Amino acid sequence: MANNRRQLTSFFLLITASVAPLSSGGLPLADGANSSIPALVQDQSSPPAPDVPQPGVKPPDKATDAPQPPKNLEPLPKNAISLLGKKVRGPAGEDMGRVVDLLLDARARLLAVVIDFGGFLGVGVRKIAIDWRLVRFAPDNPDAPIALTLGKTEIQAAPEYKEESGVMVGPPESEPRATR
Amino acid sequence: MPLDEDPPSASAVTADDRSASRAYRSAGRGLDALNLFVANVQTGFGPFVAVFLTSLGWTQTAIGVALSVGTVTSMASQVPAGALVDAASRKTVVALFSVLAFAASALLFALWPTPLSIYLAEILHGFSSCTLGPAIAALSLAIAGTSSFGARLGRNSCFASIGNGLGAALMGACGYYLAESSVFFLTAGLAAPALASLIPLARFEAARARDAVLRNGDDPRALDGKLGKRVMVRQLLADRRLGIFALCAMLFTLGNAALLPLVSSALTKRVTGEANLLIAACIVLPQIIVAVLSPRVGRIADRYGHRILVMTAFSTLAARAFLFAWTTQPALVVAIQALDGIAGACFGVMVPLVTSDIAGRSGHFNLCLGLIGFAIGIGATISTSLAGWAADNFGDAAAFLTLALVAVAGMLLAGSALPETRPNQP
Repeated sequence: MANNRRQLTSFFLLITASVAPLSSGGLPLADGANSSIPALVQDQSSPPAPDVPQPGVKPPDKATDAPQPPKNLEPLPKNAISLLGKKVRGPAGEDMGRVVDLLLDARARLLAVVIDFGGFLGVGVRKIAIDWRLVRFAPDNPDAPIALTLGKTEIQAAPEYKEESGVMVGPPESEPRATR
Repeated sequence: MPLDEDPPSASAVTADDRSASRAYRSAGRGLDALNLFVANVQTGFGPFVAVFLTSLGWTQTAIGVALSVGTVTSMASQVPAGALVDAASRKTVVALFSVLAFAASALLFALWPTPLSIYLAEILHGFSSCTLGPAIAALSLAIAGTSSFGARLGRNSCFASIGNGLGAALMGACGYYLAESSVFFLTAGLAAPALASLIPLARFEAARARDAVLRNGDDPRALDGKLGKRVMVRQLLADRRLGIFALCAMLFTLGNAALLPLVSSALTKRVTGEANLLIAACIVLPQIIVAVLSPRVGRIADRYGHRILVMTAFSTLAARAFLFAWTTQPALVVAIQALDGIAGACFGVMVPLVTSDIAGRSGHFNLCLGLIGFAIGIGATISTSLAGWAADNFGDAAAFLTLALVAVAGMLLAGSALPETRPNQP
């Protein structure tokens, strides 16, 4: 049974690898924890091909094109934290939704986190952008690595986040605004 | 089922009749259960898919692609699936494979959430939802006959909405207390009772096929009650009523589909405390009302005609949309959602009923149902973008008004162009 399942999975992985260029939208997991495996599988299975020159067929400089792992591979720090899809907590530990996007400014500084907020079984869910300065980091909780300093009541009336005409929930009026 | 078997003697017929009426009753109960559990199975998909994929770290773009794969599949397969169900002599077999496909797609979601298998799951689900609905409608027609088809559809819709309500509650609890993927395991598990409820239906179908063979040596396809010769599809498509009713179904969904999401997100903005519970109430309350009303709607349809119920569906929809434009006060919103139950009961029963009026004995009932389903799909797709556009540019109230106007347009269309489709008293 387990063996079957592994075969099935690797079947899927094979297909995934072969249709990868078609489904550009279909590789969102490529740098998530879940699919670090397919990349490995692909790498291990492909090397033998370029060594055998095919008579009649002109290999377009296959030897130089052959995918090589980068020379400067480094181990990823153990404390690297993935954010996309992770839960967001409120000040009292309440569930505030999940991270769906991070917004940067031109200098790659984090501006805001976009969360999926509210709803029941997906009905009534809304995306809300929240100023990164309102985010408290909680690296010890891998399921919910960030928390907000605002509660539900403070953000629930916020309008939905839109890429074109976005607004985000900023810090309360009392805090200085000129720090940006 | 040998063809050359002697016709049964008179005494055998009475015994047969008794067992036949028992078969009818157990087939009816099988149909009740099938509607109950299939609706349960359906609840797991829909908007929850987006939440689930978000929790896996999928980007919004990727989720959009996956959902579009499902939408495109179900739009593209409505009509072919209808034709397939028409051609199948055993509708229970179609239902069997559809339910299995649901279960398979739920398991794909839960066990292998890689992009490719999610696409596959969306395709499986999109296609099988197009075959299952018509298969259930065809079985209902076979069991109830034309004269009490309305009552049967009312009963179907009653059990389906009980299933929907229970399913939403159960899956909401699952998603809240357990992992997100448990919703899909539950969905897959509920396929088992749905399959079990097919057993009496399959027995009934086999018995009907045997009877048909004995009675007129005809092919078992006669079991649909479609003994009339198959009319050309082109002839059927030329029927003005079909086009008008498809347009009506499109307008109804166009006015209806975006209302609940729109009002739910309005609720999350206004309510202090648990907006989720209110949204759950907005989902479950109409289901309860549909469960209570639709048997009555079915009987009214059989007695007083079908057009009046189409009009009722549109007028309650228009009223609901106007009321939402006027207030999004949480308590009132839940009360107004009761109107959704009335409109839903009328519309849910009328779609297969009016379609069967139009298709008659042409042998293309499910093809027509597929066409109407296609129109409904278009309406649903436009609805969310239309309402979203109106809400972004002119505010929520304007979006509700737009949807209300769509409902009024549908009402005018049905009132002026859709004739009474109910066949003259049998």
